[in-house]
Order: sequence, then C-alpha cells, then structure tokens
Amino acid sequence: MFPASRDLRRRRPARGRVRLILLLITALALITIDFRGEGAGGPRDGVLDALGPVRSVVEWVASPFQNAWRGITDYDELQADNARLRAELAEQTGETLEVAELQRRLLALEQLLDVRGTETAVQRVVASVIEAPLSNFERTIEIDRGSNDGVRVGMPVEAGSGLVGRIVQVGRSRSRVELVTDTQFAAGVRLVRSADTGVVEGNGSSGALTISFIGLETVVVPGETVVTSGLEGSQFPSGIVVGTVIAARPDPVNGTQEVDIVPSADLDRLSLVQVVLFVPEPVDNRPVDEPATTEPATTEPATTEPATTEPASPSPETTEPAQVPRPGSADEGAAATSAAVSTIILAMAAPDSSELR
Amino acid sequence: MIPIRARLAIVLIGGLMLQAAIVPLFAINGRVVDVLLLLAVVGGVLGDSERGVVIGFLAGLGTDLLVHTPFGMWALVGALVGYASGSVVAPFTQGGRFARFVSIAIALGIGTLTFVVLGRLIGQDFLADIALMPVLATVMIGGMVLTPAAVRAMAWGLGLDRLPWDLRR
Repeated sequence: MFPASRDLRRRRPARGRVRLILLLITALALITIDFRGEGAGGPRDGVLDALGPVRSVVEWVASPFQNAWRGITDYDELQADNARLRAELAEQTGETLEVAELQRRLLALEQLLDVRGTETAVQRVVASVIEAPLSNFERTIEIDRGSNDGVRVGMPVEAGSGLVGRIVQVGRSRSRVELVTDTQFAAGVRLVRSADTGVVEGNGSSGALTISFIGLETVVVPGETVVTSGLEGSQFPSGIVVGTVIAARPDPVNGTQEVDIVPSADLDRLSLVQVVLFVPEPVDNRPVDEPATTEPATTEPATTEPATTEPASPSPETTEPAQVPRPGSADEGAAATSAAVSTIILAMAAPDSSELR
Repeated sequence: MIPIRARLAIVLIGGLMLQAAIVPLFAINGRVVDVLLLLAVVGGVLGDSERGVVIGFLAGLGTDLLVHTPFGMWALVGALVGYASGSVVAPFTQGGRFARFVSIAIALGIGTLTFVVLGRLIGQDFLADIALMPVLATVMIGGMVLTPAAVRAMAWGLGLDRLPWDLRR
C-alpha cells in the first residue's frame, strides 16, 4: 500500500468514522427530504439539461461504434424483434381498417342522436425513447422531448398500442417517464364493457396492473378493454387504452373487486412514444349550492342556472363523482348518451365483443 | 499546480460525464458498468477510509443526480463503500494483481447489493423485479476492466506522486 496512506490510516481512524457517521446522517436526511416531496427535482432537471447536449454530441459521434456494439450484443434479439414487428404490422393493417369503420359508425351514430362530441382533440408530440440506461436500477425511461416541446410533468405518454406512463421529470430537451407498471403509478380508468370506473395501480414485479374500486355487482370479463376514465381532476384525458382484463377477484371486506389487467403497450420494446399534451382543467371544489359569480357573466349571456354550466363537486374529497352531471341538468341526457355510444363502440372493438351479443 | 480538491472534482465530474454520456452507449442487454461506484472503491483503496468516505459520498451524489431513485440512496451507499474500501478492501489489494482486481470487483458487487437491500428496506419494491446476477456480472467484470484507468485517474486526483502498484503486475 502507498506509504502516505498507511500513515494516515494509523493517525486518523477516528476522524474517518466521524466523517462516515456525519455523511450517513446527511444521506439519510437527503432521502427523508426526497420522500417528503421536497427533494432534488431542480438539481436533477439541471443535470438533465446540462448533460443533454453533451450526451447528444457523444451519441452522434459514437453511433457507428454503438451500432457495431449492438450488432454484437443484441443481434439475436434484433432478429426476433424484426420477425415479431413484421407479424404485428400485418395484423395492425387489418385492425386499422376495422377501427376506421368503427369511427365512421360512431360519427354516424352521434349525428343521428344529435350528440356533440365530448372529446376535444388533444395534441400529441412524438418522442424517441433513449435506449441508453444511465444505471442498472432505472424504473423510468428517458425520451428526447422536453419543456421546449410543450412537455410538462404529469402528462400521459402512450405508444400506439396503449398507455405507457406519465412524465415525472422534464428538462429542456429530455424528459423521464414513469411506467404504468411502477408501484407509484395510479390513474382513473373505465371498464369499457360495464363503464364502471376504478383506479389502476402498477404492481411492479408481475408486470400486471390492478384496478381497485370496481363494484362487486359489475360483471368483469377476461379480455375486456380498459381505458382511462378522464374524470374531472384526472391527469389523463379519457379514452387512452390502458390494457385488457386477465382476472378479477372479489374483495368482500371492502365490497369491491380487484381486477388484474395486462398493459396493452409492450413496455419492454419501446422505441417511439407520444406525449399527450393534456393539461387537466382545475377541479371546481365549490359547494353545490354556492353560485358561481365571476366567470359566467363574462362572455355567455346570463342563464337561469349559471352554476350548472360546470358540474360542481358535492365535496372536496370526492372529485371524481362530480363528473356525472347532476340530475336534471341540461347536459345529463347528451352526456349519458354520448358515454353509452362510446362505450358500445369501444366494446365492439374489444376482443370480448362476442360476449356482449 | 492544481489543488487536490479541484483534481478530485475533475475526476468525479469526469466520471459523471462518462457514466451519463458514454457508458450507456455500451450497455449489455440494458446493463451498464458503474463508473462512479468504481471511483468510490478506488478512492477508498488509494486514499484511506477518511478520504474514501467523502469521495464515495460525492460519487454517490453524482449518481443520485442521474437516476430517479430516492435522492441520497447512492450517496449513502457510496459513503459506506468508500469507507469499507479504505479500511477493509485496501489490505487485500496488496496480494498481487489477481487479488487486487478480484477484491475491487467484490467491493463493487457488495456495493451494488447494499443499494438493493437498502432500497428494499425503504420501499423501493421495483428493485425486486431486477435480475441481479446479470447486473452484478456487468458491474464487477466491467469494473475490473476499467480498474487500471480508474486507478490512474484517482491517483492523479489524490495527488499521489506515483501509482501505488505496478498496474501490469
């Protein structure tokens, strides 16, 4: 061993232990602060921004070497992927035609019922998944779009086949996405067949997701499609496909059932994704009987029931049920009809459609 | 003459850049070498446990800035690894080239396992999903490959006049 180091070790063993204890306490304090949600978002965003250009340049310079390296290490996987993608493309071509036909029928039905479309077009931005893990213990993926492209924390991310996750960190030109399978992930969802709503959460280990708060009386069919509910206050718009049901089990204690679903998106093979530039509207937490005094008077002519233009929550704790228009409100019939039509059309597109008939 | 602290900062920032920009490009089935953990181990071995704990802590903080695990987890692991490398691993590095490389690799493996155990203790359930053997193999073998470069860099960072060992023997 280097002599100077040996001397130091003899002279200052206690100082080393003191430093260790102090730094361990510091590290534990940092972990605690991070758990309290007051953590390192800013510094991490800064590092993401600062390293972004460097990484881009290095990736550009090193891409021939990287391709050669991947050719050596991932050749078998690439071959298998190629075959699988060709098969999927052939299958998707047929399904695209079917979806186009279903959309045409939905439009026709909506026109027939004089229902206004309740979905507004939400812009999306396509992003590439950066296939370069910084660590062996990443639970997020990185994409090449950031705040310069309109990406914000909380926005949903989807692949062609379904929901991938949500944005948890945004730099100027890169962002991080928390996957739907993450145990921290939760979102409001709707079973297409029954229109019952619940909350889906990631399970981590199994790769499956679990929906809670589904009523015991709801008939859940394996293969049933699950989409985001888009209820008021939700971070996600409605209608993004999340997955398909694989099993349901009753939870008699809570009077509900838990539904296991498998994500539609293939999370192991993501190369291109779309960030849904969706900003949720602020939740109206006013009590039902409190009149909305400020906004309605500005552009719209005064109506007899100004407070009913936006459904209000019955209480601050229960924001989601406020989505259902109050009985007697003007929008109730149209909204219910629209939901029913959407549900029927989506159920027709689901693989279990035969069980509906 | 560059002060020791500035040298160490250059080495650690260089390690951070390497981990962020170059190492990911050469991932093997999604697994990467952990340069910053290697610097923590080598810092402890070449310096002593007192300097190792600080170098490990700072290297861990660098990793914390890159990843999305709770901030401070890698700093905690780095401090422990740096201290242990200075007090436990360093004597084993005297036993020749093979013993030196193997002891550094084992320190890297134990550091990685410490992170997983700590993560599980504080509720990072996703760590249970990760296949540990390929990760350990990549970190340990990759660490051995990079050890000569890390030793040279850290020796310069610590201001050592000469390398502690002949790296060829």
